[in-house]
Amino acid sequence: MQKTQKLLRVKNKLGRTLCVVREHYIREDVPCHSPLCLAGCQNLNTTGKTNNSLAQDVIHYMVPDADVARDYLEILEMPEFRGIVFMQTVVNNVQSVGGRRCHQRLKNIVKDGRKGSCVFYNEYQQYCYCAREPGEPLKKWLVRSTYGAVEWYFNHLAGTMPLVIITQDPQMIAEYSAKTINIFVMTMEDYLSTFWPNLTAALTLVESLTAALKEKEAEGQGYSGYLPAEVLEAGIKAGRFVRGCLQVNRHNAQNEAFVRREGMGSKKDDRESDILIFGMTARNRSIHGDIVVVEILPRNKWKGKCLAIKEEEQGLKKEEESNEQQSVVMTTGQVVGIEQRNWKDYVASFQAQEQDGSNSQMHSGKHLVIPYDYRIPKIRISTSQAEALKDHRIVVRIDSWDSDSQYPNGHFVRKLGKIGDLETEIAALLVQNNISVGAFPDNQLKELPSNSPENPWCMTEAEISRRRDLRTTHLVFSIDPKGCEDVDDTLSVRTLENGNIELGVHIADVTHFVKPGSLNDLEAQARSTSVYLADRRYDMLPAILSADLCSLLGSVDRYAVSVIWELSPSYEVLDVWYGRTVIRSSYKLFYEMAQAIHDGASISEIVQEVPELQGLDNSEVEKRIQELHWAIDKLMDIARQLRSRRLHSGGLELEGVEVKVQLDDTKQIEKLIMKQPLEIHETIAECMIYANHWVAKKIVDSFPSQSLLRHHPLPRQEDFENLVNCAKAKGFDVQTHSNKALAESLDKCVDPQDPSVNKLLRTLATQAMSNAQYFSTGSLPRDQFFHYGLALDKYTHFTSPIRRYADILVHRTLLAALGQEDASCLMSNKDLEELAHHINDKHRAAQYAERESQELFQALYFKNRPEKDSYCIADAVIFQLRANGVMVFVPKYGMRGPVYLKNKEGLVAHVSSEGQLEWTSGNLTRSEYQVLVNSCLGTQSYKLLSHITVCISVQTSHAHASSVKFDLVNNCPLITETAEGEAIVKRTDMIKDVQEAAPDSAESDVGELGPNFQQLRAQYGQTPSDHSLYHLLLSFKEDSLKLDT
Amino acid sequence: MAGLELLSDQGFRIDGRRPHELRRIQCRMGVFGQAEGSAYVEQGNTKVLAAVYGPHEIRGSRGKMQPDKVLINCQYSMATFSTGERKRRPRGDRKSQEMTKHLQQTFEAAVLTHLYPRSQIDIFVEVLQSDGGNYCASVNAATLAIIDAGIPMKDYVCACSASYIEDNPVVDINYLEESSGSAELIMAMLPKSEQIVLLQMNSRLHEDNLSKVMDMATQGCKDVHSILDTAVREHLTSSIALQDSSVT
Repeated sequence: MQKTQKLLRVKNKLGRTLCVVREHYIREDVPCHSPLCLAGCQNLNTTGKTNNSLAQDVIHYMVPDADVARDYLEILEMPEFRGIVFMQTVVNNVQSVGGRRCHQRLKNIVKDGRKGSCVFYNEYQQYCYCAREPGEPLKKWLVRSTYGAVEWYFNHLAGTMPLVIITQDPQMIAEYSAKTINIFVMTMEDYLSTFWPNLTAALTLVESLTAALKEKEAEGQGYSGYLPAEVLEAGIKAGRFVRGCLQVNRHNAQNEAFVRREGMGSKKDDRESDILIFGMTARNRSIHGDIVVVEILPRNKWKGKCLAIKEEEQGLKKEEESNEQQSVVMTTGQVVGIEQRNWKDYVASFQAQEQDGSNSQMHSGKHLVIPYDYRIPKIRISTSQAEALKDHRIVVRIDSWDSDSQYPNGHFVRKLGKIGDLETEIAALLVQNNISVGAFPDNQLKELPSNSPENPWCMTEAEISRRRDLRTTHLVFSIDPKGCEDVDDTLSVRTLENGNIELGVHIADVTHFVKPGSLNDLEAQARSTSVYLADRRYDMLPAILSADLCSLLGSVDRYAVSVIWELSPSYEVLDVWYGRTVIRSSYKLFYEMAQAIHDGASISEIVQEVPELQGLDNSEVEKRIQELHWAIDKLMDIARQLRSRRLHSGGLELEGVEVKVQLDDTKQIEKLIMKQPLEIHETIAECMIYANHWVAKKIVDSFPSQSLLRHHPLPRQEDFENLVNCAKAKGFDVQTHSNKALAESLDKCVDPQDPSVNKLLRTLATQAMSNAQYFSTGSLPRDQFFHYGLALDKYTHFTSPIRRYADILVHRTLLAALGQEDASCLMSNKDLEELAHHINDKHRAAQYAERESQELFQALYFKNRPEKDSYCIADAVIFQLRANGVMVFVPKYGMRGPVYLKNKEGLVAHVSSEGQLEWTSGNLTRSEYQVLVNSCLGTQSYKLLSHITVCISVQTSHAHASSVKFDLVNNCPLITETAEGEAIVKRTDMIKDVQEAAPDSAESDVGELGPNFQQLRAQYGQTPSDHSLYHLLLSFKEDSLKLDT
Repeated sequence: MAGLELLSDQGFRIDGRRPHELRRIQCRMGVFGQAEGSAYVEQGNTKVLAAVYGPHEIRGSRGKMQPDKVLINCQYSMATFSTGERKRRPRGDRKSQEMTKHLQQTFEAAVLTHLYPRSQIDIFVEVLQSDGGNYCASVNAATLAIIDAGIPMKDYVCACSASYIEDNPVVDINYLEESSGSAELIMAMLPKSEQIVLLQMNSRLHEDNLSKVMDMATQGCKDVHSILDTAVREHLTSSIALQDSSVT
């Protein structure tokens, strides 16, 4: 029947050493995965597709041996190295010696189609298999087995491809290097200098890795501090230990870290789900993000959270801070073992010079570097380039952390640039968030059609005939932010003959261009999302797709995937149609314009802003505008109805303050602009939510166990504490037990005198919630599919395939559900779940990067301002009380931060009746709703949700990001200041605004300021001043001011 | 241990088999002189010895006698050295009792019981080494032993296990795969008529996947059948040849 042969191997098991005999079948038909194979190996993967994964355009195959694959995996991960054959022997050894993480990374290399690498199962190959002889040392067997496999492989390809074995074992080189021609055996260093002489980055990386390895050997591995794995396993099962992810408190990184229990039901004992790890000793060498095993300490050692705001630059901590500053005690534990390290790349910089000069470590070539992230401890690295890199930000990786060492050991990877440069800082935050961006490689672009004037891209008849043609029948238009290039959604609405209304959402058909498994697909999958930073963006798809062929621009034919509903006059869904279409968008509008049309702007204004209407005669224009006006009104009406239905069932209206940075031509920051919410924003969002919801329904019906959905889990009740507390201070009662109750009670929290209260409470509510996540439907029970925030039972992302990979997956699933795409190309539940995790990670990273870049620009904005500039004085609202100050929210800029009422010397702030701030001796008392400042000058209180005035300044830092600092100026709101002061503030404000308005219109035709400036300006710029009513009024005001002076 | 890759991306199982491949089966018949029929089956590293006595008069209590059909009496036991750690009780524990019952039911359904009323057939099964699929190997061995004893049956009874690992149906699972916690489906069938004699499932499996696993197990049973059939024919020809040579 089958050619199998049985051989025996002896293996030991953990715990008691047992002799176990296991079968081992060997065979001839092991796929070699090389496209050069002549023997006709059936190179199939599990799904039955041909899988000649090895790269075709390499001049040799690399075969790392077990040690190299483990220790130098980073080098192999570099995109330059392709065509790597991992022998099964090597993979097994990496798994058993290097650990799960190492093995996972290796598997990722193999999975990544761009690397063109494979695993060759040599131990299952009849002629490669070599049994370990009795008494043979493991190392020798590894060498023998690897070489045997390579030799066979070489002969299998009939000697057409040279193979290079990379090993650090001198004995192996001596023994085998001259044995066969065209099988080279060499060390990593030799290999790099022979084949990749120009790749200095790899060479330096090898050097620093080797140095780190030597050090590790010299010191010996003494991880005595951790309990052995099986004890941990048993302890977890017995409930003595708890496993979870270690999260270090950013603001008190020295002492506080929390472990969130894994797999805890959110309903049961919420209060105990977080475990406090206090101090570095208890943290026991674990680092932020590690999966650790924790032992709970006896109750008498439990501690409370520290409630004081810690100054981050404070050198020495005063430990005598007593219990009065701590919250109620919470479960406290200590780390007894580490399940999985989650070390990644860290951005770091050398310590400031003063300490360095006298440091004795200088001589040994070892240096301590301070990571950019506060939560990561200092890292010891060895490098000879310390002097040159002094003012630079560098990337380091951690290698080990020995029990006798205060700091972890790491190595230098590469430098990013000088500290303080904008480019360096942006690069730093990209590395910090693990976002890799680069130009798209050529072979990826080659897959795509081109569209140039001499070689225009056009649709094929065959493709058009397969699709529903909406070009002439429907009025399709898009509404996006101004200057948006990647238009992925368009809308249409019309009345049918029977009086019903037809609403259509048409989404760019990215899957038509990006086929599963293509290079573009793999790259998009790796990136998962476009990243939008304050001043730039990194696309997920190449520009030819994202800005041209997929983008649903005005007046051109494009492929689309549409969802079309037939609605009754009362907007009940009667029928829904999904499918591929051809559309031609008639208008590419932007939000402000659409809103203006709705509000009944004059025809001349509209024509000026809508290029599609220019050059037509008047009656035609009027007719068209009427048509458009009707469509937009209808859309708004429908959206209002849909929205009210959704809100009725418990959807939340949440508030997130968005601030956009406006840059001037030299990339200097001009202004911080708050995004203006318009009704049309909500309209578009509602239509998209609706489309997403219906697509989610469809795909779940068709593929109940392998669709990608997005769910928003129930928030943890304890996270609402702050919100409830804040609201109580104003006498409001916030119910948090369900989304509906929360929405209703938030609606009631309105203070007629202070509109910011409601806004702030909504912001707090948003923060309390967990993030929405993608998941595969096969991996969760049905009752967890719901979306809490939107109050929908099923939700997914369908409407932005240009910007998000999840949408591409959903498109494929939808098309497969319609039978237009092969269902076999869909991912299995397991793969999809894995991918969903990856996409979630990438989305989170992109979000963080976006936020950090906003913060970076905020800091830059305030850095250049003089000390007492009116821009820096702002009104702030207190939303949290701490032992030595309060946390405030500045509505003007959408920023949050601490304000100290007690400074480092222990003096407290007192505002005298003239509005002067004095620091005097005294103390603070904190009650539930207010902080009382008792000093010799009297008592002053700071209530929750009351307004104070703060001065914003920037605290620059060498090793970390510059942060924005708030200082108390006055304890009353800014608006109630003397009329004179207010007038000054306003006046300067206005003059600035007007000054900006003038160059604004002038620079619209400046082209030489950099290629992407126009785009940036368009994206973040304001309405040109000459069209804005606001500016018109302002100029009147300015005139009156001039008369005054 | 966690982290063992039970099925690799390229479709290799931990012992080098593909998902649809059985372990190597070796069998011998007529290994005992004393018993009417006997057989020895190796299915990978699972090794089983079966002996059949009878049909003979009812032994022990007469009350068990059935007037219209034969009483099938089974005994399943595992040698103390059959598992990784030494077993305390070779027979009589809960697991063995259950297995005994299963074997009994299986063969009551397959043997033409009405031919021997008021008599008894004993089937003794001893597992010498256990590496997953004990029931399957026992059934296969007992079938051969019954054939060796010349007791008429409806058809061979062939048994095979299957599982569902990493979204793939997998046939004839070994001890490692069995103890990984994935679902295990055990099937005994009459391969010619494709009638299922016994179907058992441990652990949970999604309904959608059941048919795939069932198909895999069915195919496995048929493969087992062809192997057993060849073994029986070979045994027969060699023993006839022996008889012939002794006659001449």
